[in-house]
Amino acid sequence: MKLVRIFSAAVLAAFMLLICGCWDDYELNALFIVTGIALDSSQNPSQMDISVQIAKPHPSSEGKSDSENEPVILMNTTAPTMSDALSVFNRNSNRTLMLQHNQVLLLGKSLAEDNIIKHLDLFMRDQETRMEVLVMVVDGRAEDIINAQLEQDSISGMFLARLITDLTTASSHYQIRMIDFVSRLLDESVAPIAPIVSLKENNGKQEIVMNGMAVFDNERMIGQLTNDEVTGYIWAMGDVSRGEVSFSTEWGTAVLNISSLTAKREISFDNEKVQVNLSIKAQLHIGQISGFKYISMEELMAHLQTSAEQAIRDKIMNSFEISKTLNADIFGFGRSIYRTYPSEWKKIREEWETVYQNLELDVNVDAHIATTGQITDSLEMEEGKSAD
Amino acid sequence: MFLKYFIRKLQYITGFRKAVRTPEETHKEAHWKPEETESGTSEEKEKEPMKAELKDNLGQLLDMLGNSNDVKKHVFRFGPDNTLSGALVFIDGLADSKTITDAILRPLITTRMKGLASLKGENLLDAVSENALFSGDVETVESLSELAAGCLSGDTALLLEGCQAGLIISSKGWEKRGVSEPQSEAVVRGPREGFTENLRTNTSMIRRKIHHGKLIAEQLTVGRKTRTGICLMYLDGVANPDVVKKVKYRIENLEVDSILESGYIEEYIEDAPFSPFSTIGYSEKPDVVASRILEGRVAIVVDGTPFVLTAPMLFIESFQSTEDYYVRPLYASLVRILRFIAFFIAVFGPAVYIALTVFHQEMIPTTLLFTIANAREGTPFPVFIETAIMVITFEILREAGVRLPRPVGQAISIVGALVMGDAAVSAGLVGAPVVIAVSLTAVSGFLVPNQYDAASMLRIIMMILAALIGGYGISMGFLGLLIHLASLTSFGVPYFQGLSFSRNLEDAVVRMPLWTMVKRPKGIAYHDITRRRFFIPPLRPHQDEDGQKEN
Repeated sequence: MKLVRIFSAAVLAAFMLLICGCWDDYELNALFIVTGIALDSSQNPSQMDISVQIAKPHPSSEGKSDSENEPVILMNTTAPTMSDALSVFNRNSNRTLMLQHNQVLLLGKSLAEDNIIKHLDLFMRDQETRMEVLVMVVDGRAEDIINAQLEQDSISGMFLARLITDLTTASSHYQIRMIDFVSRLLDESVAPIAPIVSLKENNGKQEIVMNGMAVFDNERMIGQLTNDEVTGYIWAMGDVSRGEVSFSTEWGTAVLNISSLTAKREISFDNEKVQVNLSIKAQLHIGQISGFKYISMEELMAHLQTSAEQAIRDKIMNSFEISKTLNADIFGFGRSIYRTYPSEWKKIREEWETVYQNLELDVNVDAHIATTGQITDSLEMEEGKSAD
Repeated sequence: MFLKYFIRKLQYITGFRKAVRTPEETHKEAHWKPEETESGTSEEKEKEPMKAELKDNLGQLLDMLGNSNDVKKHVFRFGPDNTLSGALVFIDGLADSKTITDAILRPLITTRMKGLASLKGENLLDAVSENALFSGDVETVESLSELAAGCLSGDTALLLEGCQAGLIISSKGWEKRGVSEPQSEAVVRGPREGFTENLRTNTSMIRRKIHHGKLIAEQLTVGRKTRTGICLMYLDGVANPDVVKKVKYRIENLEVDSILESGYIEEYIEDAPFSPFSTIGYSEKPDVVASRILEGRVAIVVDGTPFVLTAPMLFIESFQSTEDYYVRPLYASLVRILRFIAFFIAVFGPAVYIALTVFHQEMIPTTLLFTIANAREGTPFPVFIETAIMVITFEILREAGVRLPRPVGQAISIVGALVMGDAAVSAGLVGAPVVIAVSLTAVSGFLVPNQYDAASMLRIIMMILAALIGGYGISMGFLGLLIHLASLTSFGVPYFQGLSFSRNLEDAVVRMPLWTMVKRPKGIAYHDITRRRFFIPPLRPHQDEDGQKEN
């Protein structure tokens, strides 16, 4: 009897393992691999223009002439929501749309400035849409980017993904995925940002260029950073492993390459004022110098070091000032305060916007020039001779 | 029958049953008596005493041997004044004619021993074997059936007038294949000799590796019709006596008609007859068998086959190549890890491909997905059918290549390479990634030749699971496989030993240096488990110099 009970328990347990399984089997030639989605504002304010970019499969057994065909399939429609658009696309295509490999979510600037959060629900809720998808704002119409015929990569969605991957080797803060974007959105103090791209015509060829970053408040896009200001933001965040510091002084101009740059935050409270001490440690090496004609090597190094420190500080302060005018805490200082001083944060969270306006940032840069590259002094330098 | 096995397995898993059959159980299960077989009649004959007359004995012996054409008898007279008469019976081709002339006939006929003529019966036989014959292996037997058995194994029977017994004189000598390099286990480094079809040659080759008096060889004869000689070899004191007893018991109690190859024995005595995994090891190389005997295993040498069985077998054994111990340990470990990976690919390769492309497209890197999607474009079948076609095609080609004579086999491989590699893809029948996946799987399977059959069976099961329920199915299959493997035993030793995290790890996933293998594998070796007394690394250069200075 006991044996029977054990057997039946084992059989039931085995059934538990066997009654579930993966149900969504699709053959690859029954799928359309979506590589980009573009959302644009439509003429009708309750609707939006939605375009998807699909990588077009090419039968490999056929001749080469086929590969010269269109690399992508574009589908567009106007619908009130993304879900509606997807059902329209699925109705009108002979294959199922597969969103797992979607590379970018492009938001047209007008849509972004109107309202963004109401469109994000599907991208977070659905299992097929990944939180790793890159979020970008397009200066202009987003569908233009998706339609772009690029020389570098036949699929513009893949191009943008690779562009960001390349930038990520310099700093991970260039990469704004859906998950980063949303977590910033959910945080009460931190302002979400997203890279801005735009389409450019150059000698009749289309190019996609990066134009800084868009800054959002809790609902919509409120302003933008230029590429220079983005650099300041990236440096303030630390964790940089590539990049250049360029400056010119009265003796010459120099470009120093960053081999590593780290930032450390310390927060102190002075009455009602919040002070953030940002100490930056930078490892640099000389990339290119011109000028500095009558200066010794030791002097030059000391000079470059102080100038580089100044240049880094200036850039960070510049970005900080911009963020103050937008009143958007892109650096996440609020989050840092919450993490280190939770009790203090409770006091200031209500009036964080005014606190941020009065926030004092003190940047200490400690730059170290490690090497001069393959040569020491430049061709122009005539060491030892005086200027006279 | 299968159901019965399954119930027994369940009983074992739930602890209601021991791993190995007890003698009583086996006896109960196999309790049937051959009712009308000739063994019964031969027993009767055995009891019948031999007659004194040469003519009667000779006639009866020839009757037992069936009066065949190749049974030769030779009646001769010898002794002083040729007063004595005798007869030799042997089988042409099995007995060596030179031995018969030089060691038996010549000394018998030329003997001039005094008083020989006056001896009678037993005394005459003793005198002949002690004084006249030039042979080292003479046995007096008192039944005709024993004489017949001796003749059938290549010896010569000597009958004398007036004796109620006969002599069996060793004269084995038949045509046999010489020792050559084994076909199935080629090595780059290591001994190149392989076993032959001859039992004695094989046992002598093992003895040549282990010159120790404790190497025991026990002779058994199995098969009512074939009377196949089987030799158990083990190191006394190292091999577990229980295992030896079990092996012996199982072989001795075989009620079989014929044993033509060691595979017959394996099938009759293995622990898990329905498992895809074999629980008895085999090898064609004396060094492999010797190393297994030294670890405490029992070797079963079967006459007529160059494959020697070893028991108990562990799963890990399939991944241990003999060459692992002849090359240096770092490389050996690398190759062994490679074998594990290859075995995984051999079992799960096509299944993973099916699961990824049908269920989990999101797990494939985007660029690779484009490549696969482009290759899949325009192919007519679903992925599972496509993969199954290629796997079956490969098995067909392999089987054809193995069975055909070598010159034709080459043609097969050329056709196979063209069909599989090129034509199928360019005709748009299958996608190129499938060809890559299947051929990688096929090649991987050959890295673990002992488990090749298991891998090719499990591969198909895993493919079906993957096609039905995707990656979940593969993990279920893997789990089931692990449970099955963990429940297997070989002669009382857990099959997975050496892969579990407690024992014998120095020779498992990696092969540690020989000087770290201080103990023989626990669980297999029984009494004398110490290989080296201490954990002594080899001398370093400066230590060497110090030693020389002291001298």
